[in-house]
Amino acid sequence: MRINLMPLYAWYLLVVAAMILFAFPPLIAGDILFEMERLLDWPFFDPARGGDPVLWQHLFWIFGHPEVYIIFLPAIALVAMIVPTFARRPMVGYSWIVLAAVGTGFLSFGLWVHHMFTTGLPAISLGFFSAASEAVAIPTGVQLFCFLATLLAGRVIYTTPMLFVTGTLAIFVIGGLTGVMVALAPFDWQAHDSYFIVAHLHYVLIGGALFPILAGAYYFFPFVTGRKLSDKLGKLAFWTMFAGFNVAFFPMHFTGLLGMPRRVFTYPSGLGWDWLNLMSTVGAFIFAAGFLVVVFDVLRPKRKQAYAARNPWNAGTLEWLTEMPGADWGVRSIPIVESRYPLWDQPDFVKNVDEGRFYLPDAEEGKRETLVTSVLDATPIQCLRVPGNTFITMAAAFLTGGVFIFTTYHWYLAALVSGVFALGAIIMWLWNGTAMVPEKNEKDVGLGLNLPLYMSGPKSVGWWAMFITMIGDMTAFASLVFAYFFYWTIHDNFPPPDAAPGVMWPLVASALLIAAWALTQMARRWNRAGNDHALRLALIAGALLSAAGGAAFIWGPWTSNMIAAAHVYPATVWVLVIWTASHAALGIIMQLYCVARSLAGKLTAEYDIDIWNVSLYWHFMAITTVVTFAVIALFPLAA
Amino acid sequence: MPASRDSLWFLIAGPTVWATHFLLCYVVGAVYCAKAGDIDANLGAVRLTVAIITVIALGLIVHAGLHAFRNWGFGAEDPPHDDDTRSDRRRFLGYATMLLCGLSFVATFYVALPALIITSCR
Repeated sequence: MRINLMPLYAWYLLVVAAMILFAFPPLIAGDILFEMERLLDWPFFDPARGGDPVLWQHLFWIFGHPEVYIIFLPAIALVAMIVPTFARRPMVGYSWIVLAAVGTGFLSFGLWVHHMFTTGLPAISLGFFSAASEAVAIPTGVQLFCFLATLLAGRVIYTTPMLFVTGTLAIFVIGGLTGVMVALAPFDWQAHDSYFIVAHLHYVLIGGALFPILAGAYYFFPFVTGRKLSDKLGKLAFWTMFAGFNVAFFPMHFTGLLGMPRRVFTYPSGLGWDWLNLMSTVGAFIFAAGFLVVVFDVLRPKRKQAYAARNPWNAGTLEWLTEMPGADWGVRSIPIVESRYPLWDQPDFVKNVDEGRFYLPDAEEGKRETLVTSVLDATPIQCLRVPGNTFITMAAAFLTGGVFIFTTYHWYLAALVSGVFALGAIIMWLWNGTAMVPEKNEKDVGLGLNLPLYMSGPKSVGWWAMFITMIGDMTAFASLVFAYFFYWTIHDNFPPPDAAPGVMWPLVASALLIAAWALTQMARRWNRAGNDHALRLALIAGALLSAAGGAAFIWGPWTSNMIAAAHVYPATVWVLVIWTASHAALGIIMQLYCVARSLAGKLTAEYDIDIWNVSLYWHFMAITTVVTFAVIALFPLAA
Repeated sequence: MPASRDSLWFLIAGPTVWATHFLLCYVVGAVYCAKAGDIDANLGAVRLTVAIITVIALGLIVHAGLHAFRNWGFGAEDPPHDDDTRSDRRRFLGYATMLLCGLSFVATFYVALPALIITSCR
């Protein structure tokens, strides 16, 4: 499937995945600062000791506004799949929807301050964000016009999913229009923290997420379970919810304009808000009743109900290849897709897939396999073996969660134990399930094509997984650096004159860590050249240097008596050195893991995924080191 | 241009310029006003900076847009570009990139507008 044929759902999800990568880490950074304040009394948000709660607002909303679109885009992506099915024609303006998805993804990062219009920022800052907030209406509107054009050009069948889609369009447009209003700073100063905002955000999120998700639930229920939900109950649910929603939330625009603030549980009577709130209450009950109908429809026993016909909505997109009920293996073979709506356009498509006439029709070795293809034209380039079913990953997730939950309750020993076991579980999974040396180099994947089973470096998916993970990691790090410079902008004496920790220890630390980086890179080359002794020696030496480097970073502020709880300056320096030192510790684990893999014969000159990925990690580690050094040691000299 | 130079990265050229321009405008304005310490500080230098980076940004976006226009084939064929061919894939990417450049141009211009009318840090 070439990229010009990719389902719109996949386009939206690609954009959302990239957004998550840049949106969530600032919140993680904010949470680190927040937890440090909560657990250890480090004063990041305490004005008495140089902190500032506005920094929290920045970090939260740098996450929070893109998050609105991270919720909205996958939901509207469902609409982009449902509309062509029930309009009985291909989507009008496919390229324009790609524009909308990508454009919204970018612009959503320039909107966060519109949640902070009343915090006293200079008008010029508000102006930039207000302008971007208006601009985002363009791509958002474009996709809605594409949906409407498709519906107008087609012959629409009003099934339950389609009803929820029309509800989506109606409700979301109202939310979008009030969004254009509150994007203007002077209007926002009036409406901020009032019920007008409550109305706006519910029109956006219930119209832009809940209704399309319910449309998707009705549409994809047979895909998941093999059986359809009830059409009668679905229509009843839709009309009840649509009416209830509008009765509940439309009056809130007026309660807000009449001055009712958000987040109050009661108010004195006689302010003119009473009957509007009464109406909202009635609407809320109607809305909830409608939702209960959906819940009943989903939960009611369906054993006696017949399975739906295959492709029950007569859709054109690939996912409806699935059998009713679905087979254990998913689809029999991986098809060559030549159209945006292959089920409509490609003759005998389903038959050919079922008969295994495409790629990977069988699993001869009983392993779980998939194809890796080129990005633009989907040319198959590798047959990738992926890890099979296991509970180890679940255990790793719970144990990792334990670290944070136990820390919240100050049960540090339990947190430590949980962390050690989590690490053990992750390494166990990596050891047994990833970078597996195959029993043969190539495999016949069908249609006369032989593909390699193992690829390392930038050609391997693992390398890209590390790259993407580290982009997220660097975003969190950049957010911590942002915190440092945020304090610099608001204080005249940040960093203070003759600021600790000075240059020497950070310089020593950086030199050691850069040496560890260089050794790791050399280890990869020596391994390629077949010198596995050099690989092991270089990595062990690298691990020792990393340990010394991490310790030297800590040693600087430690010996200069920087008390983190005393003022925000030492606290910020401490956060940066702890971040860098803990990344050095991770780097050590990775270096030693490669030594162990080499000793076990799982990392060789030919099969070298592990060391490629670890050396990539160390590139990012080197950047982290240099930036930390520049910020904590050099910047105080220049400031 | 050989097909081997096509890349998905080029799709985001316009929005990336917008993002960089936006970030620079915000940082320059915010740091200037925070360090000025005077709510009535004159924004002359900031406005000039915004003007310069806006001209550069719009120039880059137009450049990327023209490049995309060429990849699209100068509009010789109308969308939807949904054939399973390398040339249609190329036209689609060119067209989508060009649309994104158009959006980025408008959005960059919007973002620069406050600097036209706001004269102080108030």
